Amino acid sequence: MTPFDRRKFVATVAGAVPAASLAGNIRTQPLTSIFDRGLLLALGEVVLPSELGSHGVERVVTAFDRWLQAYRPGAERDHGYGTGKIEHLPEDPTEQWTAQLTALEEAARRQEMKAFTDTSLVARQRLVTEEIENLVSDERLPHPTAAPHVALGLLAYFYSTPEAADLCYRAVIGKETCRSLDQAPSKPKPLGGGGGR
Amino acid sequence: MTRPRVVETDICIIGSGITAALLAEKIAKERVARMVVVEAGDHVVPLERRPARRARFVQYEENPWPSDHIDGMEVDGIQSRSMCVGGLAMHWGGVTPRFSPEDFRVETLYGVGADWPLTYDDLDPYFQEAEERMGVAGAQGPPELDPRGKPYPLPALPLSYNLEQLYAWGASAGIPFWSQPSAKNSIAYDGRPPCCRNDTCSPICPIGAKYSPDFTWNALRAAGKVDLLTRTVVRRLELAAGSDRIERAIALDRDRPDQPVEFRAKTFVVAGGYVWSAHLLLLSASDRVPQGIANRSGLVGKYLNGHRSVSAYIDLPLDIYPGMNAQHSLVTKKFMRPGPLDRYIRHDLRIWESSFGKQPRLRDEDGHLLLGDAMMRDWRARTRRGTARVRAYYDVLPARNSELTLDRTRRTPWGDPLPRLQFRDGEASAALRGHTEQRIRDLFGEMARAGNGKILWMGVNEFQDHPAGGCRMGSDPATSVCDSYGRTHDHENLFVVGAPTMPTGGCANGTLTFVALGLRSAIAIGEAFPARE
Repeated sequence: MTPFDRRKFVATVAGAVPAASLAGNIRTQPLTSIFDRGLLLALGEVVLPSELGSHGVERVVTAFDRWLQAYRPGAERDHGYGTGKIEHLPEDPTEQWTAQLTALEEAARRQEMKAFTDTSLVARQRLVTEEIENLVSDERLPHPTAAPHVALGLLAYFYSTPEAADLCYRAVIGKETCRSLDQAPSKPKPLGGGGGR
Repeated sequence: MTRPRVVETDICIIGSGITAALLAEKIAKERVARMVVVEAGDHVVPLERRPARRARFVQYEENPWPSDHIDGMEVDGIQSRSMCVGGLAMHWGGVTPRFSPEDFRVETLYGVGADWPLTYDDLDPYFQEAEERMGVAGAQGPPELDPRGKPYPLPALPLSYNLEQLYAWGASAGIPFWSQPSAKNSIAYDGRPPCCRNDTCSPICPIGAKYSPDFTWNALRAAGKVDLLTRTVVRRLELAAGSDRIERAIALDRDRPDQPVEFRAKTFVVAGGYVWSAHLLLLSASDRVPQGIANRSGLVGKYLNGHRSVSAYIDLPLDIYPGMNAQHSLVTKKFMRPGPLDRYIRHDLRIWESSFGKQPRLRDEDGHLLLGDAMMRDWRARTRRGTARVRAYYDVLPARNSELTLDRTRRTPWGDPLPRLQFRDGEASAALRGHTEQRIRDLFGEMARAGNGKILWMGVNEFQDHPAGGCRMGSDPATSVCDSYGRTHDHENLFVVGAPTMPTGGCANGTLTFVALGLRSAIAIGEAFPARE
């Protein structure tokens, strides 16, 4: 089964899962992975903050994989006030992102004489930087569906989650999640019982 | 030619947006009358499927309202695409300020624009009724700025931790702010739960805490009070022979376009918003009424109105946690009245929490790529201060040729000319524009200084928000399309309701005012039918 046949299969199965369970739920295990899972995890260690810990990185990578499986390229994008324009989501990035993971693997073998997963974190950071340096034209993170590289897709995905914001502020904000209105006036509690920021 | 399918009723309502829904609810409660509602679009996603649709919006930015518009019904000009049951109020943010008393009398008070043919006091009971029907949560502002006959039906949405700090900042600048009134449940109301800060009010509330018109339509249909026909496009209104009364509305069933549908009613209510109401009247031109229905004044489609905004993001030494209730804001009406030294300038003012300038980024100031820990470190360092978003909607008084016209070069899927919209400032607003925008910029600067902050960005949005007009109301048939109840001067059994009837667009969100006007129209519409005992 090619990665793309597998993607279609996975998407079909994923489509049977209520979409509500996908929202902000980054604990769900994927039925199977679109990508080489080891490669994606090794990439996650490079682009995600280390304070997530290995389990946290694995959880985010799993959620990213799952998120991509349920993506519907060409779906109609939300249209805002004041415009009659109807836009659609970009094409499926899976093929491009898979090729980019393969390119990272090839670069590692060429430059480090090792598999990407076996190279040091510093070496992987250098390899990823070389791949994406010219793709980042400004400081803004793209929407994950429009990311021109799998590393940027994973970054953009993570930094759009409530988990990332809570980590940044070291507080339980829980943006865009269902929370009691009564608690709105209170300062968000420190994350993980720590001292907050 | 195929014989038309004929539907007979007492009241035929064309359009199913928020004004139509609450108007129909009032008539159903107070009068004995059969009502048929004709909607060009489709039914919307039911409440039980909204959590899933919202999830896809949050995760992918997918449109949470599939089939909420009709392909081929594109307008040249400002148009928010929404042709569906409930109309644009399926997407709305649920923000429901009242217009201020000055909005109704700008000509008398300030010598600009046009007075409305009714006063704030005339509309106060209908504002209240609209708030009670929708379930508006609000805080009473200073009575001299925020007059109202009765308290809000629901307690105000509480200020978040962020808004509490921004409130104190506003006070330090000498500006009284209060919780923005919103059609979002602060407590359980009308069978719907309280808000739980999902923060996607616009475009979609997943739990029904925000009022949307489909709730009203569902209840009316379940009780057998209205027949709601979807996917049915009304293309013209026709006069009765030898009379100025409207006899029928000719429509097209999108699923059987070859068979016309003809609606015969005692009363017709055009509730198509600021675009499709005037459009239908103009499309209804005939040998007897070559300018269109209800258009002896030549003003159908004229005086389109709205309000522009000046916005700024202000960096402040405050402990702001973006995302605590991001769509809720503070509001003040302090600037609804020109001061003694002012040339005419009126605007509202709001404050929101914001993450502007404090989002994660891929490069630092030196252009270095940020990955892993470096990115989180950079983000964390930049969030030690907070950002406030401020925005002022200012009054734009429309020109006569701020207008909707028929574009003969572009057609609907059924061959009718599409609308073209051109918003134009009236002479007074055009002359005052630079002064107005500079005064607001100066105000933002003063606010920033009061909080030891700095402006990160400031700009003007050319878009005229909350557009309205096109069938303006008035007492004189020579200078208006309908009276203050929406009854057209030319046809006693034809009403235009809500947004299109507004002579000016004020400087606050218009929806509550659209609905209040519609509820007042319901009184006049209902008079032709027996009262319920």
